[in-house]
Amino acid sequence: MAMMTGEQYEASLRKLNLQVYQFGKKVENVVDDPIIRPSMNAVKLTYELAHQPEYEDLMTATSHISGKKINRFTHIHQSTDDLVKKTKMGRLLGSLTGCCFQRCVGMDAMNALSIVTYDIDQKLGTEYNKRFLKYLAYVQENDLTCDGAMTDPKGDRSLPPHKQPDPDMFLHVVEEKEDGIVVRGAKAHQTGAVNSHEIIVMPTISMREADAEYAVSFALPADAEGITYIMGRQSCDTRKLEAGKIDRGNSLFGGHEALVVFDDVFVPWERVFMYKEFEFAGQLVENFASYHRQSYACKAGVGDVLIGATQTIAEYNGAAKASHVKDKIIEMNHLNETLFCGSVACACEGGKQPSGTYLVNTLLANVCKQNVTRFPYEIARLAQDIAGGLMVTLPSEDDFKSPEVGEWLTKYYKTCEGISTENRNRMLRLIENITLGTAAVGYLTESMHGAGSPQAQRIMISRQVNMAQKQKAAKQLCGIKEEE
Amino acid sequence: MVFVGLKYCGGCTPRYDRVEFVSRLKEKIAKHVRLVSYDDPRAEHVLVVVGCESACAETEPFKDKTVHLASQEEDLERMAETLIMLDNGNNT
Ligand SMILES: Cc1cc2nc3c(=O)[nH]c(=O)nc-3n(C[C@H](O)[C@H](O)[C@H](O)COP(=O)(O)OP(=O)(O)OC[C@H]3O[C@@H](n4cnc5c(N)ncnc54)[C@H](O)[C@@H]3O)c2cc1C
Ligand code: SF4
Repeated sequence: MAMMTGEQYEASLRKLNLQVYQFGKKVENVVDDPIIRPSMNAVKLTYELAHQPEYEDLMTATSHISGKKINRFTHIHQSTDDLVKKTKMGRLLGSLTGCCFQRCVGMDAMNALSIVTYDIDQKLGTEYNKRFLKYLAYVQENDLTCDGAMTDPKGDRSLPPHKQPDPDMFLHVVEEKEDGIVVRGAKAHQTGAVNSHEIIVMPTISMREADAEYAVSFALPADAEGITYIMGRQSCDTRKLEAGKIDRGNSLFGGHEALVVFDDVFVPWERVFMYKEFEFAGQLVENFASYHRQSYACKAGVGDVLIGATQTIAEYNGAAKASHVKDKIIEMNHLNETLFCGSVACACEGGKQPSGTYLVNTLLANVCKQNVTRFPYEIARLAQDIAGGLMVTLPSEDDFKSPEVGEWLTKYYKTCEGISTENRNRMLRLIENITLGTAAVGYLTESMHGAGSPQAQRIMISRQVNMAQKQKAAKQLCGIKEEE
Repeated sequence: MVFVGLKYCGGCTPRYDRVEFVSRLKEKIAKHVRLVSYDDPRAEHVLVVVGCESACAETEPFKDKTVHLASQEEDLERMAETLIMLDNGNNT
């Protein structure tokens, strides 16, 4: 198959037998569920664009295994050029969907595993890399979407896995069999989980020997027996159940996250990529996190949409020529392009690992993500400043259609000559969607916590800067001799 | 009539509408040039349309062909002339 079309992707999801719960009920038809559907549309776009000449240069790559053209989301980066194209693909998709398109996490998990399985084998003589490459070939050949499942519920944050009162707070091995292992636990906040064919599990923190049973990585079909998905709800989610589309803001796309429960799930050995090698858990976490911190170029893409919406609403309101408005929009662009700079920089400065995979510059990836934890909030603040209060006090689409009050709304919410009140409403709803509705999950809170909360990057930054070199430079310039 | 392969960059942050550029170009060159897929063996020339000066489209596969690069809206007239010349060249 090599590359699925959007239609083929949708059809492939229909064949899965996922156990999904939402609002306390089992979802019988996941693909057509009105709350989930926009998130499926966003993943579907990653398949569609790969077939469009004007996007395929970013959306596809050449497999280093088969030599075939594949979707870049299944690719292992073979050069810094590949890393830069990954950054650009994220920005492109963010700008076309205005939301989280979910497919990066699996790509980042596979790239991290391509490095770490190799390194484990080199040190311990295991054969994880061979297994992993076989699995990768399967993913590439079938153009699968993979959920990258790292985050455990973690229970009491002050305790390591083996000291948790409930041992299942971190996913762990509960039984070893001849043909595989049995695992129990859960993964929280799983982006795009129910739009995925596969789930790739990794440990969530560095571990010591006492936590060895928690140091486990593997991949399973998303509908493997014993896996259950419980959908997270997003602010304003039930607007997707309404007949009108204006109040949704983004009428086409969305994201989703879910809690994924593994209730004694069997994993065959050929799909196990780490088994109790606790000393490599930290490396896997750091490599995955670095790739994913680069992936947040997607936020610059969503920022493009928000800036476009803000400029438009300023024009609709008749405020676009005010100097402070112009200046605020310049500031939004400045912040947004700075986000992009970080992602491009860590890609350009990436390097080849012993496995042959290219890894981003991890210091710059952490700097990139640290900016991501802040700038989208400021961009959102400026968007709300320029949009005006109506963004949160606007009556519903049904009120605009009401024979009793609709005319008043159309009359009193009119702005400049030639501007349609309905278009103004649409734009306000889009800004609401990104800054405090369903898409704010991805644009704001995920910017904060996704790929690790801000403190995680600060720790990495402090570890990775060469402080001795900086001190030496300072001492040299002011005449301090090293031996003094 | 000559066949010219068409290749786009991936379009992350284009400074102009690349697809519209190509459709306007197609109109101008319709009598002389047919734009085909870049891997069409009939095409000895490839038009590469990129969205900005980074010009990051993959051109390695075209190293044995002649590449014509358009990177801004202003390239329209020049590119139309260049491509039409290919056909005139063929006729003479
Ligand atoms: C929208 C969204 C999508 C996501 N998608 C995915 C996904 O697809 N896959 C995936 O694996 N994960 C995903 N994540 C999870 C993400 O990586 C985590 O949210 C992040 O690691 C923080 O974990 P937490 O949410 O449990 O917060 P917590 O760990 O509870 O952090 C809350 C605060 O407590 C602090 N803190 C926590 N523990 C300690 C400690 N021991 N010492 C000192 N301070 C501490 C943190 O620094 C932070 O300030 C997603 C998250 C979000 C919000
Ligand atoms: S938040 Fe961004 S990087 Fe993460 S999965 Fe969504 S689009 Fe990809």
